[in-house]
Amino acid sequence: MSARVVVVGGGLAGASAALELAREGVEATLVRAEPGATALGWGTLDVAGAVPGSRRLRWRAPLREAPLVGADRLAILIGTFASHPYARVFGRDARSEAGAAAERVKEVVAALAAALAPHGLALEGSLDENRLLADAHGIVRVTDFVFGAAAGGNLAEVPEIAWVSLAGLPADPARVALRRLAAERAALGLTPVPARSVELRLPGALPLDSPARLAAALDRPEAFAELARAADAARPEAGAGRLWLFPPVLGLDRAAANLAALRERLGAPVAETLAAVPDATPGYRLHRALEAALAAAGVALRRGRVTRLESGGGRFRAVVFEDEVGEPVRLDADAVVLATGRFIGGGLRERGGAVEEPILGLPVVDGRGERVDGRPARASVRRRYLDLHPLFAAGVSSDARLRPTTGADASPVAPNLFAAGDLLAGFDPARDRTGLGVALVTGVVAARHAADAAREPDAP
Amino acid sequence: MSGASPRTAPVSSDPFDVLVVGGGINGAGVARDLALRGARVALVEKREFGSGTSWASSGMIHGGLRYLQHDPEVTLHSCVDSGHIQRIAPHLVFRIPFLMPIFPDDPIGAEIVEVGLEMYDRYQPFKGGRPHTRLSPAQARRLEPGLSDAIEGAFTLDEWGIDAARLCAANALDAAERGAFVRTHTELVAFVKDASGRVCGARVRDRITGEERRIEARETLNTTGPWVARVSEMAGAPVRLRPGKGIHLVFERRVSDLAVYAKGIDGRDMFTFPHEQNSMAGTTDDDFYGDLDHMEVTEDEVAYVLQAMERSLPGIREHRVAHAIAGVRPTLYGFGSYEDELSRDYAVFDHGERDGVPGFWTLAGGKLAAYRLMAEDASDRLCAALGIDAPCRTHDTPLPGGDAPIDPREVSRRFGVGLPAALRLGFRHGARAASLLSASEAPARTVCLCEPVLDAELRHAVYAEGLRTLEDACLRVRLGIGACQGAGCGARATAVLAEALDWPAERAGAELAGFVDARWHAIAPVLAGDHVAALELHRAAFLGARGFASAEEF
Amino acid sequence: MSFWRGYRGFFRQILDTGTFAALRLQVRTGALHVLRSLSRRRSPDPVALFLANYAGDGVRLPDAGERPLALAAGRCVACGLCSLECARVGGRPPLDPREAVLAGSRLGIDLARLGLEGELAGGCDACRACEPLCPAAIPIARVQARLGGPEGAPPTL
Repeated sequence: MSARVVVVGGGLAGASAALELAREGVEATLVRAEPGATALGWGTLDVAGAVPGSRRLRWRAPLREAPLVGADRLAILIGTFASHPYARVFGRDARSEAGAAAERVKEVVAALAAALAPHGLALEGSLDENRLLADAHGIVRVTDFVFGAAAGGNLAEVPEIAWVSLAGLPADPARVALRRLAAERAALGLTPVPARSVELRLPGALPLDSPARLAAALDRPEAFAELARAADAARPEAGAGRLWLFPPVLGLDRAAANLAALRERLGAPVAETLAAVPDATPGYRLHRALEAALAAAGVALRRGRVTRLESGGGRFRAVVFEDEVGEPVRLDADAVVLATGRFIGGGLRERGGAVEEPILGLPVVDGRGERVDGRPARASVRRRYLDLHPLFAAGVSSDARLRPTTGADASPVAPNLFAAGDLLAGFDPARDRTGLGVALVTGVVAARHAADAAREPDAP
Repeated sequence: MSGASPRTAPVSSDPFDVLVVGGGINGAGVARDLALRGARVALVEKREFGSGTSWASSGMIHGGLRYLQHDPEVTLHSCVDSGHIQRIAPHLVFRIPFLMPIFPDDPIGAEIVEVGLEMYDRYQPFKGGRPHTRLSPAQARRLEPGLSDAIEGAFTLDEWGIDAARLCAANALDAAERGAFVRTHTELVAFVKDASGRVCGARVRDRITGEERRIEARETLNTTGPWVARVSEMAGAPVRLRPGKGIHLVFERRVSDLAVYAKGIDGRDMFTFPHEQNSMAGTTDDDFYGDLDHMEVTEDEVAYVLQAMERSLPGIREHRVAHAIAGVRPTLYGFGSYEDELSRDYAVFDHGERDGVPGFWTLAGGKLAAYRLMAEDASDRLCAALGIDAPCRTHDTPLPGGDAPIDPREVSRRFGVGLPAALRLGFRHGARAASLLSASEAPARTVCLCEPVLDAELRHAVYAEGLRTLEDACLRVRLGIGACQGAGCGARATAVLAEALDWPAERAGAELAGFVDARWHAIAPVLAGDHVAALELHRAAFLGARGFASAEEF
Repeated sequence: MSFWRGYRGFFRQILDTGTFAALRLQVRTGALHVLRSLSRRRSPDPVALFLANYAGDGVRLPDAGERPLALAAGRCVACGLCSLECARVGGRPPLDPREAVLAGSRLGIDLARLGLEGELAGGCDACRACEPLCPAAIPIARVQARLGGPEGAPPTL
C-alpha cells in the first residue's frame, strides 16, 4: 500500500508540498479552506528580496553601487537570522552552505516553474541576477523571481520605459508614479532615464470602472483586440525600443497569451507592473494556476477547514475536516504536513484574547523562541510600525526536519507531523521579503521528510 | 482657503479685526460668527481643523439630559442649540436612538429614570427629538438583540450625532468663503505686543513651508482647547485648565443603529453608539498631565471601556474594533471634584480686564454641543470691544451644503457614482455634492473603499477646502479609518494628493510614512481577533512595498 | 418590578438637585408620573410606539439573520479576491462583492430613511462563486441579498 500524506493548506507552501509528494509517487491529498497570503501577493516570488532601509540585511555591496544578487542576500540572511526557516533548512554556516542553499533553491524554483508553465503562468528569474521591477505606484522591487505578466518588466534590462495608463481606469496619476520611479532609480544608483507616459483611450464598451472587471473582460479576444489596437496606435507616442509597462489588468486567465500577442504586435518588450494592495490580481492568478497544477499532478483536492488530527501509537493517523455543509470528513494519513499560514490563512488566530494555533494548540513562538500564544495579540506588538514585532514573526517552532516541536527540549510533537510556509516561526514575511521563498522551499523540504516518514511508519 | 484664492495671497497691510488662534470647533465657530457679522477675521490652526480635541469627541450634539438635575436652563439652551445646528447643517447630523437598560443593581430605579426622561421629553421638541419609550426586557431585546439577559427593563431616548471634524471644517470653510483668512498647519510662534503691552497680533509659522509671517489684529482670541493654558501663558495671561483625557474605541462598522448605555465599574455612564459608518464605545475621563501632542491609548483604558460595554452588551467583544482615539477635554480648572462632576462650563476671558493684557482674549472650556452658543457669546463680546454692531446669524444661516436637501439616488445616477459613495458624499457636502462631482472628470472613481471616499472629493478637499496633508484627509473625509485602515487607500490617496499638491517623491513618501505610523498608533492598543489578519495585509501593503527612495532605516 | 424598587434612588436624586427650578420641575414631573402609573396608563405596545416615533428615520427592528451576518462581514480585510472572481465569472452586481461587504454598515438605515430600499436589488445572481475566494469566509451572497432589501427593508450590515 502506498504511503498517504495529507497536506493542510492550499497556498504556495501546501501546494509545493503536494506537488513534491506527487513527484515522489506518494499519494497526496490536499485539504484547503479559504485562500491566504499566497493569493494576495503582488507578483514576485521573493526568495531573499532586497529590503530597503534594513540595517541588518544588506542589499548593496559596501563599495559598489549595484545591489547584491539573490544568492548573496540569501547567504547574508542565513548568516544573520539563525531562527529563519532558511537557516533551519539549509544549515546555519552561511559560508559553507550558502552555495548549496542557492543550488537547492534554484532546483525547487525550476520544479515550480515547470508545474505552472502548462497553466498559463510563467516563473522567471535567477539568484545570480536581480530583477528590478516597478509596481503600480512606481515603487521598485529588487528581487529574484517573478511570475508571469510582470516578468518581462526588468528595469535592469530595459531602462527606457513607456508607462501606460488606461484613460478612465483608477490608477495613480502617471506623472506621480513616474516621479516616484525616478526617485527610486536614483536611490538605487541607476542612471536616470526619462520615462514616457502613454495614455490609451479604450472604447466605452470596456469596463473601466474597476481593474478587476477590466482584467476579466480582457480574457475575451474581442475585448483584448480593442486594447491591442489602441496600443498599436500609440506606438509613435511611446517611441521605439522602450519597455511598455501596463497596469496589472491584461487578463485573468489569458494574461500570458495577451502579453505575448502585445509583444508581437508592438515589436517591443511588454510587461505589467507589479500590483499593489488592494489589487490582488497576481496573487489571484497564482492561486488559480496552483489549483490547476495540483489537479494535473493527480493530487486529490478537498475543500474544508481541518478541525483536528487523530493520533494513535505516538503518530498521527488521520486528518478530520469539515466539508462545505459542516459534516466532518476523515482522511487517513501516514504523515501530515501543516501549511496553514498565519492569521490571514487561519494557521494562527486570536480568540478570546489569546493567540493560538487552532488545530493542535501548538506553542506559538516568536523569532527568539518566546511564547506569544495564550496572550493577547496586542501584547506582542511594539510601539512603532517599523519595529520588529514578535507577533508578526511568530509561528510554530520546528526541528531541522521541519517537524513542529514543543517544550524546552525541542522534541517533535510527532515523528510524522511537519510544518511549512508562514506557519513556521522565526521570520516576518512583510519585513524580510522572503515569504513565498520560504513557502516554496519549506513546502518541498517538508514534503520530502513527510514522504520518508510515511514510508517508514516505524521509524522514530 | 484654496491654493489660488486671494486669501492665501500676501496679507493686506490693514490689521484684521480678530486673529483667532486655534482651529477646533470653538475657533472655527467664532471665525464663522465674526465673518458673518462682517468682521475681518484671520484663523490659524496648528495642524488640521479639529485635530486637537474636537475630532476625538463622541460627536454628539446632545441636549444635556444630565444637566436637568443641576440646572434645566442649561438643558434648555442645549436643546435649542441642537435644533439650530440641525437646521444649519441638516446633512451633517444623524439621529441616534438611545437605549438605556436598567439593571437590578443600578442605584437609581426605573421610575426615577423615567421621571428624568419625561422631563427631557418636554425639551425634545426644541431639537426635533422623539419622546422616550419604556420597554420590558423582552421588548428591549427586540430593538437590540445583544442586550444582557440581566436587565429589568429599558428606556429609549433620542439624540443627534454629527461628524465633529467635518463640522469644524464646515465652519472654517464658511468663514473663508465670507472673506476670512484661514490657514491650517500654521502655528503660533509668539504674540506681538505694542509698546503699551497690548497684544496686536502674532507671528505664525507655516509648518509645511517654514514660512513665517506676522498677522496683525485689533483683538486676538485664544481658542486652542487643551493648549489654552500654554498659549495664554505665552501672552502673559495665564488661564488654568484641568485637562481630562477621554478615549473612544472605534468599531470597524456599526454594531447597531441604536446607542446603548453602559455603566463603568466605577458607575460612570458610557455608551456604545453609532457614529457615521462605525460605532464607537466610550468615553473615559481622567485627569491628564502628559504631552498633548502625543496621546497614547492605554491597555487599562481599553479594558475599562470594554468591561463596561460587556455589562450591557455581553457579546460586544465579538465585534471588531478597528482603532482607538484619544483626546483631551479643555475643562476649566476646579479642584477637588471627580472629573465627571466638573461641569462642561466655559468662559470668555477678557485678559485686558483680568490680567492687564489688553487685546487678548481666551475662550476656554465647554463642550462640542454648545459650540455655537459659546462662539456667539465670545463674538458678542469681541464685537462690543471692536465697535461692530451686528447680530449673530450663525443660528439660521446654513453651513456650506446645508441649504438644500440632496437626492443621493439622483446624484448616483447622474454621475455614475455608486449609491454608498453618493450617500457618504451627501453627508459631508450636502447640497454641494453635485457641483463637487461636476468639477471632476472621473466622478465615480473611488480612493477609499471602506467609507467610501471618492477621488473627486479628495481633490475638492485640496482645491476648494485647503487640505494640505494626507493625515488631514483622515479627519476631513474619513480616509483610511475603516476595515483596511489605509492599506487599500493610503498609497493611492498619497498619489492623488501628490498630483494635486505637486509633491516631490520624497514628500509623498514622508506623508505616507507618517500616515502609516499614525494608523498604527491608533490600531496597536486594540489589535485583536479578526483585525490581526487585516494588519498582516496592511504590513504587506506598506512594509512589503516600501521603496528605496527615502526608506526609513530599521 | 415592585413599586419601591422602581423608586430607589429617589432621595439621592432630590439631594443632588442643583437649583430650585430643577427641583420644581422634578416634583411636578414626578407627581404626574406617579398619577399616570397609578392609573395604569402605559402604552400597550411600546415597540410599536418606538417604531412610530422613528417612522421617518429609517429605524427598523433587527431580524435574526442580521447580526451574525454583520459580524461575518466585519471580518473583511478588503483584499478584493471576491471581486476578481465575480468579474471572471461575468457577474455584474450593482456593488461589486468587496464594495458590498465594506459599504453596508450605515447603508441600511439610510436607504430605509430615504425610501431607497430596493435600489441595490437584483444584479447579484447569488452564484456564490466569490465565497470560496474569501479569506475570511464571509457569506458574500447573503450580504448582497441583504443589500437588495428583503421586502424593502435592508438592514444594517
